[in-house]
Amino acid sequence: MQNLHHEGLEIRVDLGTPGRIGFVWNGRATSKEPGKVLTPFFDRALSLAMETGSWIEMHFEDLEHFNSSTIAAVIQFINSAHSRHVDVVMHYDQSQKWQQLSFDALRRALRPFESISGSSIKFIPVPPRAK
Amino acid sequence: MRSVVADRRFVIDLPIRERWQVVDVLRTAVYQCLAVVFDADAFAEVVSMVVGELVENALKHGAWNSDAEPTGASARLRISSAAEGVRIEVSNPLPPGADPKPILSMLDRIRAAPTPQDAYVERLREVARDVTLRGGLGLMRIAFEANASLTAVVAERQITVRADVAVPPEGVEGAEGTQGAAAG
Repeated sequence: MQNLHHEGLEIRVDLGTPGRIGFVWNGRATSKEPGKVLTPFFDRALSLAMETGSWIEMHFEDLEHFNSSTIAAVIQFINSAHSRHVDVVMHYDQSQKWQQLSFDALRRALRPFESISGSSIKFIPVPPRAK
Repeated sequence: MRSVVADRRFVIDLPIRERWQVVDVLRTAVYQCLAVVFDADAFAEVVSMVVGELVENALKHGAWNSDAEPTGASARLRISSAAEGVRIEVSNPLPPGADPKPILSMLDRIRAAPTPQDAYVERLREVARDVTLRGGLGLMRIAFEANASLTAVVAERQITVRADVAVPPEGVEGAEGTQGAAAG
């Protein structure tokens, strides 16, 4: 998989750890229709995860902003991963108010899905890094 | 030492061009303007998020002069100081035949929910289950993350969506989004 560059957003792919597919989000996700780019990108990631028996790890700590259309694409990816039995871990920066609010809402929204058989979804608030 | 501006009255009133790129420019500019007035970066960030979501909605759903039936009208962004905080208003012409009811019903849903977070979480679940669903998530996000009071007025084929965001108590950086971050 190749890194994704779209408008002000970069998603760096990290395949350095066997059994893990990492995505590191940077910049600003402000596309008008992010699903057109993100959905096929995530579909490739899910196919690769199923082929290799990997789990997917997303890092949002360095993301500056995402719009609600990107949030929709992210939650649809998580739902798709769940139905395809791929485990997902989401890391976010709890010291940034917007990330704390956004990911707490996502975690709460996805809670009922956890009772259905499928993958596990974990949200990990990352403490502030030393500057 | 913290610095407080005694007189916080201001108005920003701009016409909006029909280009998607203006959203990010406005969001960033509003953040920088409000960070000058308010001693709370997180509050400036919240207001800039509200501006971004409302302007995105106007650009997505408004009537524009490059449309098949141009209206000649334009969209506007107005941000002003209010007694309790900041008022953000975005107006745009409605396309011919467009029905504003979906927006109004989203606002009704927010008001009817036990909390804005409940409304937002429920909409997230709907969007997760149905990839064809469009609309409403931005308004629900504003109500929750900005703890904003949202209203909309339709008059003469023009819709104005208004968000009132309360400023946090002085010197309480991080008190913004006073819904709290409880994950339920």
